[in-house]
Amino acid sequence: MSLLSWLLAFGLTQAVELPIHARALRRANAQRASWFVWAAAFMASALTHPFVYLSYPSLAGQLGWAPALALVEGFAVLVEAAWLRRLGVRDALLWSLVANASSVAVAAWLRALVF
Amino acid sequence: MTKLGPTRGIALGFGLSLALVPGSALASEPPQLLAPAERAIFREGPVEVALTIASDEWPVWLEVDGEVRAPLAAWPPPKVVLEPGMHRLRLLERTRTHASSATTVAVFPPKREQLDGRERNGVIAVIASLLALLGATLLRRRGL
Repeated sequence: MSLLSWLLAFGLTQAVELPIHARALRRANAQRASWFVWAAAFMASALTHPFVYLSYPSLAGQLGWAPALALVEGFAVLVEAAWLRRLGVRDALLWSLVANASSVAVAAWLRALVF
Repeated sequence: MTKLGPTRGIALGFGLSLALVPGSALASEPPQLLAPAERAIFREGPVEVALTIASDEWPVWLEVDGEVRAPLAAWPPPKVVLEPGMHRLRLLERTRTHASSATTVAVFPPKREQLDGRERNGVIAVIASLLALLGATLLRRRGL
């Protein structure tokens, strides 16, 4: 696991989750500057991605891939939902679920079909 | 007693050396196949395998499953194409009288675990896509 592979995964996550988080945040923060919305959206994934990416392999070794994935992604959904809720987003849990499920889906499709 | 002069001394020393050095050391050494060592290659065949050969003399001859292939030169780096299955590789030196010990190389299709990984990612992709679609539909219904 190299820094480059982490950067690639982080870039892919941000590419998928950033627009979704930004859309949720824009509705709740219409009066705020655009940079604030995008920065807050970036932070949502940045808060959880290192934990998810770094802990998944060892957790999968101990628990099996399905429980480990459920655990780390559940953590990501809850933490990002709390972040969005704190910034006034309605249905923050649903937005967070959509964002994380989308990024997991894109990464898994790429691994299944391309790599 | 005959006196031992320099010429006789050198001749005697040379003769003794020849008599004492083991015969195998004077014979030409067979080439050694350093890589691949005994191993398995998990790829769809046929596969091209790079060979690392230590030899004093070139060309050397590669024998695959008892069949001698074309001679190998030191350059370009020698390679061999192997079909799926188990293969015994040996090297013969230039005169083809001495052979290296045999190396076994097996070419198998990709490991089952790799296929499982692909299938697992497919399962994750389908479930995550369904979750994302369900969430997006709920958000849309709520007018978000």
